[in-house]
Amino acid sequence: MPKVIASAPNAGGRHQRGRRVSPTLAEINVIPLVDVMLVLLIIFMVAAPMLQRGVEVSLPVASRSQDIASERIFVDVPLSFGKDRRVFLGKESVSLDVLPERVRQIMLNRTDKQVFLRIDGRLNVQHQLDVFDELKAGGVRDVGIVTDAPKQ
Amino acid sequence: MSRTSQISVVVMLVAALLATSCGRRKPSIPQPSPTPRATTGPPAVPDEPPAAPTRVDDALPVPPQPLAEDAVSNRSLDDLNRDSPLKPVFFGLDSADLDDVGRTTAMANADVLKKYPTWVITIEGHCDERGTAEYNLALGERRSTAIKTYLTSLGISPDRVRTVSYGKEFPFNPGHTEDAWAQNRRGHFVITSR
Amino acid sequence: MNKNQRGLRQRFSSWQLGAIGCAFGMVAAAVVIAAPRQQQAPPASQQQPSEVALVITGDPGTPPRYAVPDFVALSPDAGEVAKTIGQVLWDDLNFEREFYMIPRDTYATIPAARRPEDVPFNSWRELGADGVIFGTVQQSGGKTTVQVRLMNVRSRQTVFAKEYFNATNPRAYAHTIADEIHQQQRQLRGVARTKIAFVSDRNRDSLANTVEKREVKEVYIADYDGENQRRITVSRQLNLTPAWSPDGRAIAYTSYRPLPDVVVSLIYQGLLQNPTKGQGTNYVPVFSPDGTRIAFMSGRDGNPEIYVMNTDGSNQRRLTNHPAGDGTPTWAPNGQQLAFVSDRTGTPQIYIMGLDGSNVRRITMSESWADQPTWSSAFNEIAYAGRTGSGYDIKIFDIASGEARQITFGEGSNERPSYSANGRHLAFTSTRSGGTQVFTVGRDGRNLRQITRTGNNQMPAWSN
Repeated sequence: MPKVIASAPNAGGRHQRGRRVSPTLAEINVIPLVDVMLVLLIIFMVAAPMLQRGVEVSLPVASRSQDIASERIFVDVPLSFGKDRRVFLGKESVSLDVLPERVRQIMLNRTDKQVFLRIDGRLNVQHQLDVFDELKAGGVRDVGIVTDAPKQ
Repeated sequence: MSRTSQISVVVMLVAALLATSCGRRKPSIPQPSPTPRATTGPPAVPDEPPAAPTRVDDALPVPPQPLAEDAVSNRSLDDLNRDSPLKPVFFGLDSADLDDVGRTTAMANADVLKKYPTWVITIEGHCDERGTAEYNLALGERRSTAIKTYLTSLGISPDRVRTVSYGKEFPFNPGHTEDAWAQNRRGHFVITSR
Repeated sequence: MNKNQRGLRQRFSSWQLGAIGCAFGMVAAAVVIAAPRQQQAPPASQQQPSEVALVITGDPGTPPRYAVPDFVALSPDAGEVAKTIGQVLWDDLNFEREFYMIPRDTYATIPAARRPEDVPFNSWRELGADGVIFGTVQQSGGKTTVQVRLMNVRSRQTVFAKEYFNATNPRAYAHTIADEIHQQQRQLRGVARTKIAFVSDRNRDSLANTVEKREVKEVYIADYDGENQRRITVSRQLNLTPAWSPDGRAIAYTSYRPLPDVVVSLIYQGLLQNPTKGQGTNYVPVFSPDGTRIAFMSGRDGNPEIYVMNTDGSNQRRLTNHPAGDGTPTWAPNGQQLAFVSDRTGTPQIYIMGLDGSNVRRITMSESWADQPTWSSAFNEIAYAGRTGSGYDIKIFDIASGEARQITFGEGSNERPSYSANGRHLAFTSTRSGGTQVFTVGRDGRNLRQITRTGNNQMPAWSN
């Protein structure tokens, strides 16, 4: 928080000036306090949206797909996969190279060797197959593709 | 600035701060953190290995000096034993009892031993391969002892008869058939001195 | 501006200050919460490292995941040793199944660190590792120095650091490290430094002076993983049923010289002892858990019975007295009981008795043939070979419940179980792969490994 620290000398300066004008005043000087809080407020307001770092995946649309019932393993493949070849396991960004091992670890104590892919519809088939290959290498038996229901 | 506007500023501040701090539940932005050793002081285990390193002893076995030979010579009387006048006694499955045929054979062997009173023999107990090795050591021991006991009852001095069990270690017939097993369940006579 | 602020300040009343103070408090709290995680490392534990802080844990419900990359060769000629230690350490840590060992072929994309401060924790975390090994090997003037650290990938702390030297075989370093990590992280006595003795006909030597061709068997020892096999006996005779002394420095066995007798070989001194000294025929010696006594079978009194003597041969006394054959003794871990095999009911069955031969009690009730008992020193159970069909399978008798369970299932004939010191594994022989070979398996029947391949190998005995 560099801004907070940087404001400290200023606050001290004002305080000294305040004492010079009214040296017997016993109240706390709240002005720098409000300054600090406002700065903090701005920092948090700016930072808050960035903290919500979800993955934006625009799902393909299919009308005849089934709803996913229970707790499943999801692998998100955002559009950026085309550039950085990274996918998301939950909230965690993971390189495609280590995906098979990570999936293997997750499935260690599971009987259903099933993974659901939330793959961005704008990625091409080759990208999808790359992810498929790595999932198979990790011992996944079934890969489901998550879709959006078509908008009415 | 009026008093109400001051209060509303404060209220807004509090509300805004509450909102932002609630929103901060998922700190998924990687914190640009300095290396932990710089911030946390010395790690739980001293970073440098202990001053006295551990000596790893993986001593090598030394070949033993052979023991002095047993008092009983293992010198075999090859020719005699190759065409031995002493015939083996065969046993039933998992049995150390002499049957009629076995007793007849043992009796004939006893006659030979009476004819050559200086001979010292070893009776080897053998078993077929179907049992477990350790149990067969006991079974072979009982077979050889049973023959020795019978020979003793026929007047052969027990001092002339030694017993040994080879369990299933030395089959005479390496086959895996009933015939082979029957041949391997035996008390085998070896002349060890004359 | 300054003037206005001053006026503002002077007009605040005390309750307003209180409200602002509250707001400030919340900001402060938010700042504390937002502080980097690393600052939560408790300072107390740095001054006084506790066991808890040193143990690497995995995700809830899963074992910790370890990565063991190749050790770093600090001198040019140490490359081969460094590679061996890494591979063997991975195998050793994998053996007890206390950790999920991340396969070494998945490390390719992770840059190798040459110094501990260069370990790429983020990459290891991405691979799912909770703990990572960093090790170095330095060879100079024929002296090898191995340093190893176990690092917690999350906290980036070193939780285990040690230096080793003096081993002639690089595998010994890995075995030592694995045992110490198992001890420190899981309070588990590992078996990486234990050995397995067995008898083998691999030399194809024949007995001298016999009419029939009779192949000798000699006693061998190997590391627990089957490596480093060495011959222990040189008698060119039949040598059977090896058994370890508790300190792992002596092996007692049945040696035909030419009559069967108990021989104790002090394998690191090259000395042989013969405590029974030819008093009749003596077989299958086993050391007591405290190493002071040997139980064995002898036919000296005209029938196979079980005897006990001190290891120097003194105080030989008979425990069983039954016209049937009694043999194959094994000690209870407390040294006060023996299990043995007797065919007093017509078939070999396993019995338990006190050290004075009293309280004989049959434990196998539903077997047509039970032999080769081995008493676990860690769990209240006895493993044995029980007949199933035309062969045998390894079964484990739970003494408390009286129930037996099977851990091999008719793949070849499976015989002669021998517990590891921590009771978690068994060595046994199987004919499943051709010939008779020694295998190890977990006491749950999983994790089967074949450890011998040359000739026929039998009668394994696992050292402490």
